[in-house]
Amino acid sequence: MMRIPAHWRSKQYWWDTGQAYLYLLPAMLVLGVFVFYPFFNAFNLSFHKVYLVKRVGGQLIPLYMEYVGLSNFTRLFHDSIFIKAIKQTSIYVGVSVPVTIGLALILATFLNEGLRLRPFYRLAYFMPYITPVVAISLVWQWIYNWKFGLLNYLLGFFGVDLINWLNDPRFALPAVIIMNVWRFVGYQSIILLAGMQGIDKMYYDAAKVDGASGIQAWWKITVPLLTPQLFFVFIISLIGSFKIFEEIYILFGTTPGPLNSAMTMVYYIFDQGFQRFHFGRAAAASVVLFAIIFTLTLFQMTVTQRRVHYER
Amino acid sequence: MLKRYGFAALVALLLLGVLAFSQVTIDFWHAMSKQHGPALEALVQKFMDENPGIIVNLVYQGGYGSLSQKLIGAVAAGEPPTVAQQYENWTTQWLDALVPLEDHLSPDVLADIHPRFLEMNRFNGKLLTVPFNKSIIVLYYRPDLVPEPPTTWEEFLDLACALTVDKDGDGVIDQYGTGLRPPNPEIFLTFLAQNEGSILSDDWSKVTINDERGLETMQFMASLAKCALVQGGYLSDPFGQGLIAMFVDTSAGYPYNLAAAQQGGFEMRVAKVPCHKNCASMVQGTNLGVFAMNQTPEQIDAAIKLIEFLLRPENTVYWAEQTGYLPVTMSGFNSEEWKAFTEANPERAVMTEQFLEGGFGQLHHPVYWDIRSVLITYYEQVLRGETDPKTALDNMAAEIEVLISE
Repeated sequence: MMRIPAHWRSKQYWWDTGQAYLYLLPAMLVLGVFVFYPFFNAFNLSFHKVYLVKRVGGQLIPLYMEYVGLSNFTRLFHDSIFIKAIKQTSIYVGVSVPVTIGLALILATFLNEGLRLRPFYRLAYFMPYITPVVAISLVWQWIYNWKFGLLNYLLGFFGVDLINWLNDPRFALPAVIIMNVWRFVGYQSIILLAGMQGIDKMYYDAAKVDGASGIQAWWKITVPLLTPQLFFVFIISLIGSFKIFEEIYILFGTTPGPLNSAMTMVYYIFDQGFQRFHFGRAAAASVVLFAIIFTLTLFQMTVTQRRVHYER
Repeated sequence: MLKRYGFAALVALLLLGVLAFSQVTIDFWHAMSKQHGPALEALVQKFMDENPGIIVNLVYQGGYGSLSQKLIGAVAAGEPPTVAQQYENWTTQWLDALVPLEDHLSPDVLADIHPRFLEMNRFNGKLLTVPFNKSIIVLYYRPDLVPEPPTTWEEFLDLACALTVDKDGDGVIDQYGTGLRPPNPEIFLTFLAQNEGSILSDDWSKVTINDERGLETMQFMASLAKCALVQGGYLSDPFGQGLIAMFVDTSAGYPYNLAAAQQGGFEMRVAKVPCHKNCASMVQGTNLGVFAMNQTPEQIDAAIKLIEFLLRPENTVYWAEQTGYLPVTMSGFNSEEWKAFTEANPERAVMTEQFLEGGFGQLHHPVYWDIRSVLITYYEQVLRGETDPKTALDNMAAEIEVLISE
């Protein structure tokens, strides 16, 4: 017979545990309804063809589901637009994540120098992050205007010809990248700055004693000790940027860019599900997206885990 | 005292209960904003004044995208509103859930709806919706640049190219004869219909878009594109900025295009779309459907009354006058009021004439929206000069073939 653990016998234990779960209950309910249920439901939907409503034997059945096995998935990989979406999302992530983090690191370093008006700079760089996406996209629509936009005007001073940012398939994705790098640099730099300010001064003093230059100190002390924050920013930025959609939807006026050049995975899911009513297919696409992000995140965590130095 | 007042109170409560039961509440979901919203509210209020036992919950659900998503959610939950605006390609997703209107509308009202509209609102032979806010495609032009609007494809092409100029000789075109929007394939479909072509055969069994008539149309679009500003965004902006001399667009865009012209400081006029073998023009805008799901017979009756009310000649004319859409009934089109209104507003006369001469609607195929997306993809390639018309059409046909066979 199995021996019941001693602490299970104590009434106090159950009382404490029960209380704990009670406190967790509201959050679990919300997560359950808005995260876990949709998550498993999407998996289920991806194996079905979904009729919004169907009359079956005199009864009107909403969300009538017909099992179709893996056909939604095979259909997906035969759709050139889906493949394009995967490719373009990957390019977007592959460029914007390192560029944003790199710039954020440089920005944080400068902010850490103790400039005057630092609070002003922090606010200025953080503002884009807290401004609603719709507002940002609408303004950038004008900044990117071919003949009258601010960006082309400024580039004109450097002798650059008019670039049709929003109407040229070669420049659509770059346009999205630039806008989003601008949006997230501030937020990421604040996080990195907080990390930098948490680094013990004694390391820098020791480095000075050993005759290290500013750059050496930065590379050998700041960056390694910043790795927890860098890691955090890397992961959330990677996961977040895979899900890009709203900016594109608004920037290109509810189209996925000229010649689908700004089609991304979430845009594809939205289009399939809410514009074409193919709920099963949309669910399958979201499962594929989940698989990609999950694999990448696992890979990221195992590979970079060793390189992250956590202060004890 | 309690006895006396108690009894009176009881009677009053009972009466209230009876009244409540005799009152019917229906939900009407719509996407009409700006000036259209107040006009709809006025009509609905008038209806409720005439019918004291009916309460209409008029709910603005946002733009069309928002409305369609809310309807999807509502139908999926089994609780749609009683009446809702809907595009044909939404209707095809919930055909089973709509009330067949021929069983309920009075024969007079049915006979009064313009036959072209009746056709557009039949699904598998059944009338499931009635036309509501309908627009037609027309030609907008600047009389200062275009003294005589073109009336044929050849005239349109020649004029567009003559008006595409590089004014200051810097190698960049400053003015385009016309503009074309790839996300708006309804323009191509209009010209296709004018050439007597179609996407599918009448019985939907074959793809016909890449036959000769389709090819001629696409070749025309390709030539036109050489003298056109091609962009994804609405053409009212570049029009107002003086970048376009004339363009084919929906009549629903009239207020925006006019505002742009006023800002640009020039006059704008409306003409019929240049014709070819016929003067067809695509009708857009939504219809009204009554949901059978989750409704009591009283609610359905109330909804039918509302629809018959909206279809009265004076009401359809009022709606058209206030919004820029078209009247939808014969008596509406033929009424003295509409005639006088079109005389005072010539662009409305053009729109009316364009519709009466050649208005046609969307294909009612269940995967029409997918077909339309395929259409947009290849149409855009042709407009941007990336693919030649024949290859584009053949690729398009192959993909549509797959879509309709699923």
